[in-house]
Amino acid sequence: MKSRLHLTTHGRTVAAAFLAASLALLTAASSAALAQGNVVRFALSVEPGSLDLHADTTTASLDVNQAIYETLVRFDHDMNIVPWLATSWEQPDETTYRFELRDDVTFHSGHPFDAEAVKAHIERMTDPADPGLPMAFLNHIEAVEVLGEHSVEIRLNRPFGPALAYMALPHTAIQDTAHYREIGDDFGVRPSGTGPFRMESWSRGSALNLVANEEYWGGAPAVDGLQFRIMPEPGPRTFALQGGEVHATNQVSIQDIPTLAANPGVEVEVAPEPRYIRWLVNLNDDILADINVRRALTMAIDYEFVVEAILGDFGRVLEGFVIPESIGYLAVPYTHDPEGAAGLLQESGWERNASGIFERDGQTLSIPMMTGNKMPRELELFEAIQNQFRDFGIDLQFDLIEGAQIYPNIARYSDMLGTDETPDFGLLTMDGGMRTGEANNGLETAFRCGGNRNASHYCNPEYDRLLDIAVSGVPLEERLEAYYEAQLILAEEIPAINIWQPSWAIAKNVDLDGYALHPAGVWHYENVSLR
Amino acid sequence: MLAGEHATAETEASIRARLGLDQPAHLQYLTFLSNMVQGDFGTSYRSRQSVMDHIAPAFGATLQFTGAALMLMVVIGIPAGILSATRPNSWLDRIVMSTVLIGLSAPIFWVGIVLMYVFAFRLGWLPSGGFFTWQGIILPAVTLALQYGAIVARITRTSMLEVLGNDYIRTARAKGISQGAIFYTHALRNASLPIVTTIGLQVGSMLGGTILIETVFSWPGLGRMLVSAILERDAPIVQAGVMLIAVAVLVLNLLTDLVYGFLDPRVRFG
Repeated sequence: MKSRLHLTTHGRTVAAAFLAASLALLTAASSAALAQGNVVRFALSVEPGSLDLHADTTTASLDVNQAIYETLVRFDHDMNIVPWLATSWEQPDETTYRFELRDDVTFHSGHPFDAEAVKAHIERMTDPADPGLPMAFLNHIEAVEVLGEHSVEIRLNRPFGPALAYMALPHTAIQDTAHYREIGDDFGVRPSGTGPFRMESWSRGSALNLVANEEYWGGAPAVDGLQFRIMPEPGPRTFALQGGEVHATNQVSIQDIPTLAANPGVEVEVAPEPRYIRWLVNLNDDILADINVRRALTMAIDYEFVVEAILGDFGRVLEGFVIPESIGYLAVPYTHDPEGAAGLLQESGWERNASGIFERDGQTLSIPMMTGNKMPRELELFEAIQNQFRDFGIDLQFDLIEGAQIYPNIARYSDMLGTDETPDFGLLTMDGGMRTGEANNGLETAFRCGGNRNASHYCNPEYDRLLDIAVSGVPLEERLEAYYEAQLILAEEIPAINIWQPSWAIAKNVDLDGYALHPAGVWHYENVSLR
Repeated sequence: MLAGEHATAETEASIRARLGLDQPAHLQYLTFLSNMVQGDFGTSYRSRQSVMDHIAPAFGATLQFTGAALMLMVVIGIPAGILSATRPNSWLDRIVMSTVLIGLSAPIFWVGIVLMYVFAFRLGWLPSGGFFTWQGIILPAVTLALQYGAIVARITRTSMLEVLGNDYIRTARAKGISQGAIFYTHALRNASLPIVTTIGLQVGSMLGGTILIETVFSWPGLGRMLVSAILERDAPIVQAGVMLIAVAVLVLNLLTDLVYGFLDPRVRFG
């Protein structure tokens, strides 16, 4: 009896200590001070690898480095090209551009921004021995010449209509090459540009801290700095945004939009993303080589209905080979005509079998489709389309691959042209960004003979000739005419089926001003402020 | 992958040459081995910074957070186990053991999200993780400690009950030794071997198994770094990270074995 009493007292002591320990931990922290001065905090889902454009032009990196670097020219909100680091430009002939530069700009390191700096930057990015990633947007440049301290001439190796639009991309922003020469690859973590914010510190895995550039040529920013926090999970990003830990994110998942929009402290903005999603058609495939089958694929189902039903505000049907916002876009929508589609298939010898699937010589109309699940709700959308096809009589077989493997696959298939190997897909999902605002971005590499993204193995010399005109230096009306004709050829020959254009969204604290979606997919930070 | 969707053939070729991918595989492996023994794990494909610049801070962050979780695990798990053992089958025991069952069976990321929802979002007491204020470590460490501490509490209870049933405890009681002394000098020390083994094993798996928590709480640790490096095909980081975790687990097992010797003279060498 005595012993039991003893035990009880002892038990109480341990219980008390145990409770006290756990409570102390929670209450000690209850005063967590979350306010951290006049700094705008953004949530990023992916951490940039490097801030040097030579090494990294992924979205995550561009999101941050647009606060640090600036381009010679810019797109305004109506997609007109307007002066920025260059005050004016002229084009004395088809292949020459002369830029007059601002004379009141210095890099964060203190080096002057001048014609020499522009030349050094472009030469570093296009160095044949070690080209940088922006090379893809600069490979039409032959030489850069310094005409005066603030006057520079860029000469092209061929007439290239979109050249100026390419100079407005964040990929081609001007970096401080003199600073790069001093510190080497450390430039990726200690960059120097001309922008409104400069790099202060980067704690890997955690956050990038930028401070206001007090010497900014456009006037010092209204906030003390920017912080980009790395928050990989959508749930915590949403909590952090609603709880005021971060002010904004451009990584909003679809399912969180209603919650965020219902919060009076948060504003959500949704707009079409400059990106197309299409299915490339394997023209070497025995079944798909038949134009009747390809045409039937476009007519058999109501894409408009499926896209609307599955994606709602988060995407829209793509009615052309590029997005409607781009220069040179031509709408070539599909007509929903299942009977017409069945007629075309019958013309080619296909008949519906007992289970309603088309069949010819004992072979069912089954099409292997290689796809990833890159975009939100994309797989749901494709499954709905698959169901519709089955109801119509075509069997789509998914071959799921990882999203990151799509581009390596496309490159591999396009390399197979002229070899004994043939691509082993029927349809292949391809998505492409269209930040340049011009149609060539979606029309060249995928459809030109031997283009390095031409997995379809499409080749039509007339199409290539029209594209040559479209990207040349002739007046815009002639270029547009060529773009339209080229797209009509594609619509006739169907080397790809256009599916949808995603939307993107930002969610931000109502106190944050000056941060908004831009039709070119760029971010401008110089006017951000907190109320 | 590195070159992106707009890459030109020239860029791709130059990246291959810079990464040494144009060399035969056995040469690449030899180069890797000889560099590694010199402590050089190479350069990250993506950032072009030394791998050590990535690994060192990430390992530090993981150590901080697993260290805090370990402390909580010991501070909460062992007393909870003792408490249950002192009054087996009482209401207190049932409460502790049910909590343990929940801690063991609930998915760790779900517990994390629920804690975050309650303490960060609803109550606003704590930040939702992150490395920005010292409070940021609390939620991830508590989440991790709940799961791993549950196992410790269970083992402590079982092992204490077993030891308390032994003859020498009855003898000790018969000698009139105080209850506290019996518990801490006689019972706990003898019950501690399985507890130490469990903690040792738990810390090992914690080091490699923090990935979910680090991702949920935006903690800049090794686990999360490894996952993103795998997604980005950043092989040098993956190699170094896996190597580091393997070495850490080895060291922990060695430490556990050394602690055995200290607690139980019978297992000492020589």
